[in-house]
Amino acid sequence: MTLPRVVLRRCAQAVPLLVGVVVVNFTLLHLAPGDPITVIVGDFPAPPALVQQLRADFGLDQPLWRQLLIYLGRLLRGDLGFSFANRQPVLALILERLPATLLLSGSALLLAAVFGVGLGVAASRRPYSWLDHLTSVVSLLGFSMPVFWLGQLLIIGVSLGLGWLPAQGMVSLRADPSGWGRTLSIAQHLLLPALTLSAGFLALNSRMARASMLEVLRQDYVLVARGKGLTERRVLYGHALRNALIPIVTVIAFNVGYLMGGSAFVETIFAWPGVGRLLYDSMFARDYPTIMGIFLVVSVGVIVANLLADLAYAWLDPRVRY
Amino acid sequence: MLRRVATSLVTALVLTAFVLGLGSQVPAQVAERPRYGGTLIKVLGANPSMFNAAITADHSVVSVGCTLYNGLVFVDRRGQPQPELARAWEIRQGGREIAFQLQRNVKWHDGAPFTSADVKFTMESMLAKYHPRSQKAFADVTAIEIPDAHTVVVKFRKVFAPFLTVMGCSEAPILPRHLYEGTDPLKNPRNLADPVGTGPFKLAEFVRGSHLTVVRNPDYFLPGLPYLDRIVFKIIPDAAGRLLAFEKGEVDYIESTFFPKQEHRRLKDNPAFQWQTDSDQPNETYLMFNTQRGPTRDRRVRQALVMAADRKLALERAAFGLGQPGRGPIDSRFPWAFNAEATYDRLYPFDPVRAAKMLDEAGYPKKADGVRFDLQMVYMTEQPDLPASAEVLRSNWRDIGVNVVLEGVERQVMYQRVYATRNYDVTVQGYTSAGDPAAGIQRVYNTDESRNNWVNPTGYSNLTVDELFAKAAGVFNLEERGRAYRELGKILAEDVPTVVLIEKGSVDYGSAKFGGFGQSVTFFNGWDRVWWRAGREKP
Repeated sequence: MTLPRVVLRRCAQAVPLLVGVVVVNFTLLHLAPGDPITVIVGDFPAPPALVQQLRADFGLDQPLWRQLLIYLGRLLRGDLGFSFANRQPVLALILERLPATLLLSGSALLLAAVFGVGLGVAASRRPYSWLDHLTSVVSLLGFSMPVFWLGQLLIIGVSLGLGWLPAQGMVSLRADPSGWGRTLSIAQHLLLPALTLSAGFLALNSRMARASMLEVLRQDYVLVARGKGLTERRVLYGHALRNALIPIVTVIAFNVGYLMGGSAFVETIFAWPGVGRLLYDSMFARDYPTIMGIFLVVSVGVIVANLLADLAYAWLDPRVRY
Repeated sequence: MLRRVATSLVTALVLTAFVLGLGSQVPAQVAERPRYGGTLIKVLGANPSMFNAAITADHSVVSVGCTLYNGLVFVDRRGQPQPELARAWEIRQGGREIAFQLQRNVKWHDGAPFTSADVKFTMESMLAKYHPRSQKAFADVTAIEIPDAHTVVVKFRKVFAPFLTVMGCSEAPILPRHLYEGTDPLKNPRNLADPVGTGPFKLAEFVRGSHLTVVRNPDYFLPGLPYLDRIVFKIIPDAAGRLLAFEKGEVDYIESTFFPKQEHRRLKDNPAFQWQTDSDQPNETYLMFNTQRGPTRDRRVRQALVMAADRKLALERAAFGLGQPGRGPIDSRFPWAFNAEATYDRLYPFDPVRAAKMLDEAGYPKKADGVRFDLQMVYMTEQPDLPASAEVLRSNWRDIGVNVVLEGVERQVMYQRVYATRNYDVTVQGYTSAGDPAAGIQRVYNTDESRNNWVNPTGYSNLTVDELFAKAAGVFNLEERGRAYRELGKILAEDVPTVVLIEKGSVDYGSAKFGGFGQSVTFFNGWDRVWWRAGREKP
């Protein structure tokens, strides 16, 4: 099957999946206790007339089934609805925050992929050595430490204690830099949250890479490659790694969905103005349209990531054909 | 030769020491005079959903709103109204009429003149209809007259005694008629962008999720103000993150709402910071009983539970010693309204043995397992003092055989459980007095079956108490008001549907690089009077 047909088939398969995501999440959200109007008016008894008007304006006075139908109808037109808490169209709100999340998640994914695979490959070259044990310990710590705790520790240690990096936000607000100064400021603010977000995935990738490499290094063709007199570097990176990458690519693609979810915690801890933070704020505000919009965007992101992973298999392994 | 050199050296050293000594005194003297310039970074817990502070009591909206807008008055640290948009006022007919004389030569940010028509319009179209806090103040207004461009006369059917104190920016900001008239105030585009006020600052930038910047209004009507060039509101939703940013110096001010009180002991002696206590209107933690179900229907049971509650311990564990234990139904920080004869210490001194006996007498002896009955305690986990208070009460009541099942829930769930469905036995809640018992305390005890949030969720209804509250709110004379509050305080102290567990203290922290903090009774106001110590002498 050609590439365009593979993509089209995947898109067709994704549609019922996305509808399921929308219906289930819509129902669960609306059934959960809470009222977005109380968040809008603040912590004081609100005039009934105001509450009624806001409920009507936001369509919350309609029966649930009608609200769902209206929402699905709007989705077909590409309209993700209107945010109660931010008084903005949801799509515009998400697009405004998406670059920050892509920057953070992309950086974390890159760190986790490059260093995770690198550590795993290094450990597989010398199994049961001190390097291998160290990698195991680091992986265990990275995997088991809760992301919000690691983030706080890094802020206290690196930012407050050593004073090396900023604690909160995406850019310096006191200096108000522009140009390269702004880029540097963003890079400084990015390092700790990216490190925090990547820790668990780095651990997972390194263990996966180690196991996969050890499996491949035991294969006959690797023995043949060494027997032919190829350098160890050529054997490792030219022959073994490419085959070992297939399960690793699966895990990395899997990471994408969890990264989006994990970014909600990290963005909140570091006050990073991304979609994850928006999700966190929206949950407390019971901002249903925004929550639904984010779930939808994340679902699409996961589907796209898995599609790219499948395409990567075909590139990595010529035997794979769709 | 050597002697000459030595003499010169000594002279130079002495002169240097003198100059350094003199120089070190100069900054201290200069720092006490307000200076101009600089940027202050404050914290916000969430994005402001809009800029119209006349139709919501949302914390973020009001925080920003009080830099963009003004109220008729500025309420100072003692809770007394001072001139702001109104330069003077006259109370007539025993409080049935208040005439405000407005400042002249005040301009909106877009250059249009501010007049009495703006005040009348804001009051009638927004504050009276929509604002959760000031709506009550307008409930008995019969007319708002504007005999000329700088006079507003408000007429009341019944007196509302705290009217002046709720006319500050945080409860009653004035908005421009020329931009809102003829539109739906809830949907006006100015709510979301390009807000126009008379305030000391103008909106310059809003990066949603990150920060919001306001810059100095050079045409501000109060001469010489504001001092700062700009204020940046940094949006940090995480409580720990806010404190860390403050300690790191990325934020210059953190108000009591966001400051974790347990950190006060650690930070209070740090010379990089300054702090102020009681910079907010009196707030209380209340212990509330569901008087419509279970054992807490019985007054004797409630009295026994109050006697077994260690309010001093609650103050220490929940409020870290900031404030004082609850003393009576009306916060004692309103001394003119407080009944010193009907205090909890007199009626219910902490005595678990006696409390246990009271429960025996009320018909709730200990069963074979040592438990008299169970109570479901529902509270909001978002405010750290509430879970801590709940833990103290559980421990206290366990000692007298009452088993408390703690249910710490999210805010939205708490609204449903406590206010909408009253599915609880006991709850602990934080309320603000809003600066006057009629404004914020009355709602805690008044009969109210509306099931709205932040009113009386106990089901307690006493018409005498309701009448006394109405009487106290309906006169200006403080002595007369005080008599009514003291009388109802006695009734409430006996009935104890609700008990003040803690009279909460507040503590705001600021960077030592700034001066002028805390000049208003609330942290929302007074930002035009804050200055940066390293600023310039002139604007």
